[in-house]
Formats: sequence, structure tokens, C-alpha cells
Amino acid sequence: MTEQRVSKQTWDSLERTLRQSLVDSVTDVLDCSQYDLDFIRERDLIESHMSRILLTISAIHFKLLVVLHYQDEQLKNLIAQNNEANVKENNELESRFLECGNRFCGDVKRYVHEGVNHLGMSTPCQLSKKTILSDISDDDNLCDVHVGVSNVGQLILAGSLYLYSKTDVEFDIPASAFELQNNTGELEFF
Amino acid sequence: MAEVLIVDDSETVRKEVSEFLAGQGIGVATANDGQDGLTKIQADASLKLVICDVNMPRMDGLTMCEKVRAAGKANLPIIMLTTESDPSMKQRGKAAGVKGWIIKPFNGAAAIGGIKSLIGK
Repeated sequence: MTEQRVSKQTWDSLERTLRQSLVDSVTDVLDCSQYDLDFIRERDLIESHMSRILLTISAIHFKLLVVLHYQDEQLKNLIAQNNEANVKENNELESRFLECGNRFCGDVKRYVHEGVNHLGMSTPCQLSKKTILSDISDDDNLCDVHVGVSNVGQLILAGSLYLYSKTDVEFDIPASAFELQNNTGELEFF
Repeated sequence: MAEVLIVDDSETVRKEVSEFLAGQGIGVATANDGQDGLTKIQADASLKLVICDVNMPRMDGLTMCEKVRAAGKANLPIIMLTTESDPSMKQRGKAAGVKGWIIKPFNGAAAIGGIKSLIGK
């Protein structure tokens, strides 16, 4: 975690957004309620060699990097244990996590949109395992927040938000935004 | 014969939606992005419905929809299946002739009634 350079309100909004989005977006891969979920430090992620999916949310005055981290082998085994569907190949796991990353970022964008207008998001990108997290930090990094999911003390999955701007960023996502009825999956006719 | 074309850059989504619809007795074809989708729509007159992502490489789903309409296929229903929920994005979809909108993840049970009505089953 970098030195906090945003207001408590913005920080709290980011934390709530991260936690809720991570839990919601990985439900078909992992039921987070069965594991330990906590805010962690970036150092914990640096020390843990994980695969990573990167997406970007762009606003007029700031940029959010959205990163989904996952442990390939541990998750393959857990998915096989918990679901009837077996993930045999690494590229199948990668494909599933690319889509999880897409949903994760889509959820983050949906929540941030409650406090900020005009947002765009990228398509997901699988980072090379040689990528280290310090590669994505620079002077414009205002803050970063991280949530980890652990199984018997071992980090298996995590989500991160990195906020970048050259100016101060202030937004507030009301708590009620996180209590709204989830209408995903339903067909809305025009 | 394919009745529904699923256009998504995610192999996982293509597989998930295809398997569900095939299990409902619906013929399915897939495309990897908007460009691929446009080519397949122009080549296959049997299609009754297109289910399409918004954010994709090469050509996004809304641009594909605009090009399908510009190519004279005014009556082919297109549904967007996307993480996007921004009202301005939905508005652009309506203007492009999109018939409906599903926010991911795909929930077959919630969507199948509407899908069947669109393909006349």
C-alpha cells in the first residue's frame, strides 16, 4: 500500500468497491464466503508469485488500474474439488480468469459510476509472469488498495485497485449503491 | 442450422452461452469479435438472433450492430451481453437498433424466455 494521498471518503469508496466487486465477480469460480477475505498490503502480493489479469478504467481526471491476481495450481485444484466442471488445462483457467477479470472491472466501473460520470473500460489483458507490481507504479499513483482471499493461510486470489492522477481526486460512492438489488443476468428489452 | 450467433471475445462466455442454448434445443454459432460476427451475419441468412458483447478487440459490439443495420438487416434482433451498464452506452445501443441488454454474468434461466420469444420458439 502506498502512502495515502486521497481523502478518507474516496479511500473508503475504493475499499468497498474493491471488496464487493471481487466477491461478486468470481462467484462461478470460487465462493469467497468459504475462505478468508481481508485487506492486504501490496507487499503480500509482491511476495506471492501469481498470474495476473490487468484492465483499465479511464475517467476524465483519473485512471484506475484493476488487477485480478490468482494462483494457477491451487485454484485448479480447488475448482476441481468444488465444482463438477474440471479445469484441466492452464489455458482454460486463463480464459475463465480473463472473463472474471472482465466482470470484476465491469463491477468496479458500475460502482464508481455512482460517484463519477463518463467512464470507459478496457478489455482484459493477461500479464506476463515476469511483470512485477512495481512496474505499474509511478509518481501519479495516488493510492492503491488490495483484497486477498486465502485458503488455510495461503493467498489464492486477490484484487487490486491503483488510482492514478496528476491532480487531486475526490469522489464518494454512497453506501446505498452497494445495497442495490443486483439485476445482472436479466434480459432488459428496449 | 444456427439460429443464434454468439459474438464474444471470451472463449468462456461463448462456451457457457452455447452449451446452455444447445441444451434448450437451439442451434448455435459463435464469432470471436465484432468483425468476425459481421462476416458471419452477412453470410448466414438463417440466423434469427445475435447475442453480442460490447467491448471486444478489432470491432466492438455496438459498431457491429450499426454496420448490420447499415447493411440492410433491419429486422435481425441483437441483444447485448456485457459488463457495461452505463445508461449512455444503453442509449447508444438503442440508437443502433439493439433489441435488449443483459448485464453479465449470463443467467440462462432468467434470459431464456426472452430469447425463445425472439426466435419464435
